[in-house]
Amino acid sequence: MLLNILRFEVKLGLKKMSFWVYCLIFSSIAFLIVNILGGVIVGMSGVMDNTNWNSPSIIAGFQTFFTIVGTIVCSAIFGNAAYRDFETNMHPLFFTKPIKPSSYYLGRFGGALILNILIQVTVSLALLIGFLMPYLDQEGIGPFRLDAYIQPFMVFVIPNLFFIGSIIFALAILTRRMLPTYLGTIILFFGYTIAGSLISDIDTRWLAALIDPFGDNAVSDATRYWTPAEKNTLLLPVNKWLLLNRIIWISMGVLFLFIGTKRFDFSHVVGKTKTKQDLDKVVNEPSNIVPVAYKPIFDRSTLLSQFKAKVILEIRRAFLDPYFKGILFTAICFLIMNQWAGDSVNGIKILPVTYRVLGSLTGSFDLFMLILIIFYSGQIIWKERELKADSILDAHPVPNWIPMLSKLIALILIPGIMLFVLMLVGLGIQTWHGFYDYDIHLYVKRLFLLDWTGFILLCVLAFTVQTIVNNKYLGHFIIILYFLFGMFKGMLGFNHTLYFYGSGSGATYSDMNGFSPYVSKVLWYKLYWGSCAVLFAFLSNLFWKRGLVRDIRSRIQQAKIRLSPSIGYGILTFSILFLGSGGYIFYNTNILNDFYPPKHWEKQSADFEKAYKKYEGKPQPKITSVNCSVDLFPKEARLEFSGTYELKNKHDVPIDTIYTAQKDWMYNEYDWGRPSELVFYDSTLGWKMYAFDPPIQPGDEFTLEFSGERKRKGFRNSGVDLLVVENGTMIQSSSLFPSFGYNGGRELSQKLVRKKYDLEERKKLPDHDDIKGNQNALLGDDADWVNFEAVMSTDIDQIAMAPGYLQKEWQEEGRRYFHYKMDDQIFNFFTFVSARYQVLKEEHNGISLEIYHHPKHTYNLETMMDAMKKSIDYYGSIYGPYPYRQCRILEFPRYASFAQSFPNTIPFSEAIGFIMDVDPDDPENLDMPFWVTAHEMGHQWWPHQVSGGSVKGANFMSEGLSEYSAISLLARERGDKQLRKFLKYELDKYLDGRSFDSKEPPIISTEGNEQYIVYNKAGHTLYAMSDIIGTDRFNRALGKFIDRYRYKYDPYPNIGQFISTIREETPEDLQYLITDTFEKITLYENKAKEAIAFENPDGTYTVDLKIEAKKVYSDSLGVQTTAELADWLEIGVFGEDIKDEEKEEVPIYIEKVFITDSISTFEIKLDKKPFKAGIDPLYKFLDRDSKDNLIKVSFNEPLSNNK
Amino acid sequence: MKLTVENISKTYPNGVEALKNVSLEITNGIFGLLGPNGAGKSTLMRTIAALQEADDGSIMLGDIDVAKDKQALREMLGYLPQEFGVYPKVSAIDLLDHMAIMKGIADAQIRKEQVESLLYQVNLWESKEQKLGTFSGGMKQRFGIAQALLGDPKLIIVDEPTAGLDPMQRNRFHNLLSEIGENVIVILSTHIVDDVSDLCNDMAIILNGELKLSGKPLELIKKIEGKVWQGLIEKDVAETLEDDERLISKRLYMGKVKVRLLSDGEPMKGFKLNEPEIEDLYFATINDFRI
Repeated sequence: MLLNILRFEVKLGLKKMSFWVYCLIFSSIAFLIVNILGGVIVGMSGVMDNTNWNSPSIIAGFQTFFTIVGTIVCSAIFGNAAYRDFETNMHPLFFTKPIKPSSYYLGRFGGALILNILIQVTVSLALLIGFLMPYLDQEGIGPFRLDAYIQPFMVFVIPNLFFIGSIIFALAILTRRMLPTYLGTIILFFGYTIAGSLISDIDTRWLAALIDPFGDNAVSDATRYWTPAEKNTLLLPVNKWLLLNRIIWISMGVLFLFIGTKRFDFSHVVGKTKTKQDLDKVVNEPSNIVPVAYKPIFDRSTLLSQFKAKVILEIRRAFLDPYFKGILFTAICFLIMNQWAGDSVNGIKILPVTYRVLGSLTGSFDLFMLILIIFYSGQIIWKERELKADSILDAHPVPNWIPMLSKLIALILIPGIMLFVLMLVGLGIQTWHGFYDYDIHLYVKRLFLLDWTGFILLCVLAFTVQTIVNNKYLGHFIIILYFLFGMFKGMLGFNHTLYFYGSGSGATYSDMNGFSPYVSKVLWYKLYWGSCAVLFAFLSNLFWKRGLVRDIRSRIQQAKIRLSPSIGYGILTFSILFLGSGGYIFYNTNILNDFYPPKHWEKQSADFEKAYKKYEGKPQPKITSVNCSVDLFPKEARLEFSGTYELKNKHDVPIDTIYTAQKDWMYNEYDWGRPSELVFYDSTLGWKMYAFDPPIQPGDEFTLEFSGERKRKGFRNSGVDLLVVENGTMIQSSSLFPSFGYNGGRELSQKLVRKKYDLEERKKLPDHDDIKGNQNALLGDDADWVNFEAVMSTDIDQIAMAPGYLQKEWQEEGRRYFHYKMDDQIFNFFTFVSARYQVLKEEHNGISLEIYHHPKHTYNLETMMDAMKKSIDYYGSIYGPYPYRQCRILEFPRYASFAQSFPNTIPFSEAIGFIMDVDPDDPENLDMPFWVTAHEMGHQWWPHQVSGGSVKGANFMSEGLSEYSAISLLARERGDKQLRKFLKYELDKYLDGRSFDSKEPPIISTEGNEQYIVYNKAGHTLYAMSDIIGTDRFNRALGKFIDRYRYKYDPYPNIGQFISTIREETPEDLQYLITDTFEKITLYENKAKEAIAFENPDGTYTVDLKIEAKKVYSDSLGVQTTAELADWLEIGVFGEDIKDEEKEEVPIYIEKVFITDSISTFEIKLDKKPFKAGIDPLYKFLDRDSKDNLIKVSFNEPLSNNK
Repeated sequence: MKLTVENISKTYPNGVEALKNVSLEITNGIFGLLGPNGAGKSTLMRTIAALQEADDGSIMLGDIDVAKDKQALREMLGYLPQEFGVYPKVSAIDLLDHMAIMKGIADAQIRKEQVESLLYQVNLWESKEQKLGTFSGGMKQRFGIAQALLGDPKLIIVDEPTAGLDPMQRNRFHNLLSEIGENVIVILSTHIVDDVSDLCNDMAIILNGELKLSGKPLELIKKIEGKVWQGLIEKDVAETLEDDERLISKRLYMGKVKVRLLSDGEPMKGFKLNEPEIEDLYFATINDFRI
């Protein structure tokens, strides 16, 4: 019987059009993606230089992605299988047949499951066939392997379909409604989203791996530190967490199936009969029982009351529904849980300032809203038809727009209410954290003016699709397709905002600058898409289903009849508005500003390189002094600048041509202080060549005077020009001032992209000891150290700043002027800042410490001030005194989130440091403001005193040594726990980063863009090195190095010299460590094997510890070879301590040990009771699996206690 | 007021010809539309109610062209479809009140009076606060009748209104309808012949989309006066009559078969001449007698 039902279900499904539509669309999308990756549609889009596009992990990723997107199809097919008989009132017929309920249940379920599996099979086939296509760019395609498709299909696709289906099916068949199934789907997505938030924190990754229903995050966790080589060759590892994940979710499916079959029976659900109480009620006779004709009146006021009544009805129906309350409740739980999950990432906590809370709440909520709107649009429109109430209601003397508009209003209110709830949750979270600086205005602007209007657009679209398509599930599906298009439109080559519905209204909020730069852009786009939505609404009105109309032809016919003059005028008006605003947008994006198709810059870079790389390295004069003025007009988003370079030919050959990447609009004035002629100008790529006659002789000095203007012109397709903003301008000199020679910074870097343009693999920076490279500065060959002087002006209420000491400040014509001058030599790299600041000033050992900040951002000023003082003292004691009389931190808006060090001047984004939540009592809570400030302060020595040249390893000396400085200061000031947390964080970032890099270099060959090395690996290994060699020795080496090379140039000091300085201070038996750290990629695979302890009669403890140690060298792709072990490692034991009534682990024994064997045993005597023991307890060595470093100590009864 | 249906035809996309060139003229009073299942009654009624468009032909109510001015028709229409649903979680009185607003009774006081009066008349007064989802089939049908009478409809279309009503309720409904039917057009479709004979002053029989017969029941019946014969015969004899073209109807009666035949003279021994009934007319028509 079961099989018959199953077969019937499958047959029925195969006969349906929708099944084939799903198959066709899904497999075409899959095929399309493959073709996009393979470079067929719009050229290369893959970003992976050394991971194949058809590597097992990527195939698995796609398959999982399609089961996630396929949830919508699941709910249609499973829901239909369960609900169909109730919808069509067939159930009494089936339920009276001699079928066992369980056969009916399982047969239907099984049939739907098979249909879903078939759809996913077509997806996998499309991927498989797609990747076999010979016309794909074979560079990125690895060998075909069938198991790469089958394994994830078995591990992810089928189990996912099974449990998604069993949940949806059970909900639909037991409640005999469809809405609960949507709720079920939403909860599944919540699991996915929350897992996504949890995966970023090292300590909660295991949880993320478990609670993701689709298994995606479990895979991310398992393959997190995989190198490209591993990604290309290995199938997905089924590790502990992944296995547990699968077990949990498959059991969940089995559970639902079990409950479903148990609870499901064929009983007829009868309406609840009246209770006795009700019957006893005294019923009065009505006031009038004679049938009298009541003359209806049809006028405007009737229309109004009809409309009002319908709106109230629709709203009550939508919102008083218990399921809506369920959804609201789920949403609140989700918001709170997600907030909790993302609250602290790796111990970094950020204050719940309104924009942050809003960001994290809304970010994860979008998907939820999307599902809600999709489902509710179908629900609201189809309600009457599903109840068959339409046959009465359609005959009422009510114009179409009344039911249509009331339904639309109810739909629109759903996201509105959700956002309102979100606002309450946000306020609740802020209050709960004891943070009372609520920005109610920001809640209103962000949630209702920006977000809600966006959701309204979506509502209207979904509504219109549902009206016109006239098939609920197909309607849902079309909206999903629209979203998929949104995701992939860039890849398909569509990137103009004018043709993606609802786009163009993104706006970044900054506490300093509000929404100001975005306001006009957002308004215009809202007007544009708003008019489009109104046109859609007219369309729904014309095609509104009323009565019995089936085929498209008669619906069009009907629409023509309905097209009354007033609707016609409405359509005309809004079409004009739509086209008009669209025209204005086009004027802004394509005429005032330049619009570029997706690959424009890629192509420009390639062309530029091909045309002008031949001039690379041609001797150019160097800047020796910069004297400039920058006048900011924040309210007009405009600036004027002018300057004079003093230049010198520092080469020993004459220079007859100066090359410069430049376009005409950049400078109004550009005058060389000696005879010259513009002999070449390429206006497309921007390249000028000036010939000098007589040539510039070695040692010749001359000047260049330049001036220019920048002004925001309307808005661009991709965002808004943020060079000058109303409050909080931060400009780097490189975006204004001239530069000379060919600059390789513009070159394409990805191997495959370069190949597409027939470019050779990019030449890297020269090796660290390259003579030519060491003649040029780290920041380019335009200058070595320069003198700097600037006059800045700005609005009367702002403070403008540039590096240097303030010489004079004055007012003139309602503007404020500042004159800065640097008396030391500095890099040819400056910053210009202006904002309405509050200033905190302190004096420390004759150095003026100043923080220029947004008046509201006072949370961490003391910490930052403290970090400046401590840095000046501590670094001063190691590296020599702080060289300036002043140190300034300048806050700038969060359009960028970094801090950057200039001599005596540190621009610092409002997004970091200023709003961090630091709990001094919680050692696990990373003190970010302190750390970032300490890092930037480190830069005042590295590289602002000792800088490398344009060679490998130079950037490491700047960033890596600043990072080391910050960590060692942090360890000194904040203790071991903070240090451990930090090392773990750096280790994770490093391992994570290397898994994405196509070619990992050892430190000595780093170019500087390997952030995971120059920051994270540097911080980790340099600290570990200092710990092993001895902090004093290591610091002494750094001090020696800085003394030798301070302000040296031509040649600049290089990392080779740095390493040899360290070697000088390192004892012989640790020299291997220097080699391992700087010249090789060294990893350890350390593991605690066994720890057995017993208590001695005297109350002390003895632990027998067995550990395994292994050292490997990795090549640039991550292929590992085992290295011989003769290393100093560290073993340790943790005990338990009670602090503040909470158990905490404290190290009670840490010892450096020399290890040569892979298995070693130790006997450790302790005073305190051990809890955990193992190798490398403080994460000082690079180890991909540091979780197994420690194990719990097991206790043996001591012999003496035996009876 | 006069409803004129002229040459209405309708073919569904699947090829079924639901209406073939149907013309009717209906005046005030109750008009009975008889026909077997699938004859096209509901299609005709939906078309008159402007819920469906005809392929050809026109429908005029007074001087309103139904296809062009649906709103004007709807303002005068009371409609009870054959099959309908309601919002299950709303009480009878609330939904009726809501529908009264839709029907143009905007004044709250007047609306209350009419809603209450109608509920009373269809005998739902005591269940008025009950949720409609808990109503039995008959109660729901009565609710449907009440809503069709809301406002001041000049054209009332009721499709199988008595289906699911017990004899008492049916009687009550007939009384109500005949009271209202004096001044407005009531179109009543049914396959229960008694409904027509009890109520209608005009009738039509429709079969396979074609109008077979229309006129006043009393006049139509005259056509078969003196031709209807009835006899009680044995089953095996009755079987021989299966293909007899004179056969109007046969039904089991006390172990034998009661057979009615249409014949100018005595068709068989033992048959007696009978008063013709509408039912005879109906069966005669659908069995394709030439009358």
